[in-house]
Amino acid sequence: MIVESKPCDFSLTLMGGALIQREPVDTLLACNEKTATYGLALTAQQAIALSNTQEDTLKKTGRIEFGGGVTHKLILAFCDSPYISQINYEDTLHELIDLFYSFKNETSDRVSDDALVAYMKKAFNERRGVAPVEKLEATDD
Amino acid sequence: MTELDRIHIINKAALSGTNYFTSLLTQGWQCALLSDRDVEHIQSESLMLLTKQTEKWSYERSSSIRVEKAQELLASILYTVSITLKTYSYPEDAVDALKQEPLEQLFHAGLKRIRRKVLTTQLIHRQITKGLFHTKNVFYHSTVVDGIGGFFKLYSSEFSAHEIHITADYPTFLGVTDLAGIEFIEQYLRNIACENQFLLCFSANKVHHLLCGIDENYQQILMNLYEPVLAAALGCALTNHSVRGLTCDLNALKVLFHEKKTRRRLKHCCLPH
Repeated sequence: MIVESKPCDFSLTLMGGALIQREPVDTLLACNEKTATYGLALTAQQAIALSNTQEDTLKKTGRIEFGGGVTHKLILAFCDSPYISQINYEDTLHELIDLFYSFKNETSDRVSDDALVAYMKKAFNERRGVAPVEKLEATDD
Repeated sequence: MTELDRIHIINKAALSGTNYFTSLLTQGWQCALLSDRDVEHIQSESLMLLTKQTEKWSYERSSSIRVEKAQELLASILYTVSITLKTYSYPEDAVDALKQEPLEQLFHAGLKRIRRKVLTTQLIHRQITKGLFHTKNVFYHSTVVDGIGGFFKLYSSEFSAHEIHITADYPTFLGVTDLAGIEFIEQYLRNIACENQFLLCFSANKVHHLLCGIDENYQQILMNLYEPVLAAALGCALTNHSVRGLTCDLNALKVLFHEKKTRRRLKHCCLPH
């Protein structure tokens, strides 16, 4: 009798699909309530696109998301920036998501999510709406 | 009424010491003690535990981590659960525990055992270093004192329980195989303790001369010290010379080993009965 060898594999390659938590689209759309004050709102299509960007960026940067995501934090942090308007709102968020996870790797996870979002916002506003693509200098954390 | 031996389905010899959890799960599934659903449930529990450990590791400051770090945390979780599973006399009972008890419970029991092992191993280490045999061989001291000391500084029972961190260069007479983490260090130090105790029966000077006879540069050679001292001591005992002197009559030893009755007796001792 040949017994089929089931992997019983606990590698994240096989189980990781269950781990990558996409940020729920509803969570992103719920942010519209606050961002409306600044004339910013996401459509359902845009929210889905941002959720996809998060998933793609996680794969690209070799990271796993356990807590749902950070996009809503970026939305709420940046919505009051004078350099974001409805015209560049979605594109800017895509770029910020990409930068956020790259920075998390570059800082070897030593900087908390909140501190990194705060730094990115400060740098963004100081650069008059240009996202900080340079490597991080010393951060306050 | 006779006592019947319990029927063991799982081949204990096929279980891995370093990857006990995965090998037990695989064998359990192959022997139909675990269903596909059981395995999926255990995988799901391990992912939930991984999420909790990740939050703990990042002090709840990050919602994401690198894949490599997640894999390391998962390996640590599985190793820790293995420590609990190994306490069951029969692997079939360990499989039952996996089915019936929450994985988190097995994990915390394993963590408790690991922390206790770390404490007892530190005690053993302290005892050994207090009375370490004095030798000019650089690897003996550097591994036993500095290397193992380094292990205790680096070891994290919570997040990298499976890691050894050091290379344990000095080779013990009986090697330590198929063990990881604190289990490896525990067994390694038990071996060192026995060898060190034996070596302390002899003067450091006489051992030094014996080892110089093997290789005058023994101080810089990665070699086990216990084996040549044991062999010399046995040779002395067999040829009625002072064991502590470590100088036996080689010619008398050769004659002894050429005698048929000696060879017969040795063969009889070596063969399994």
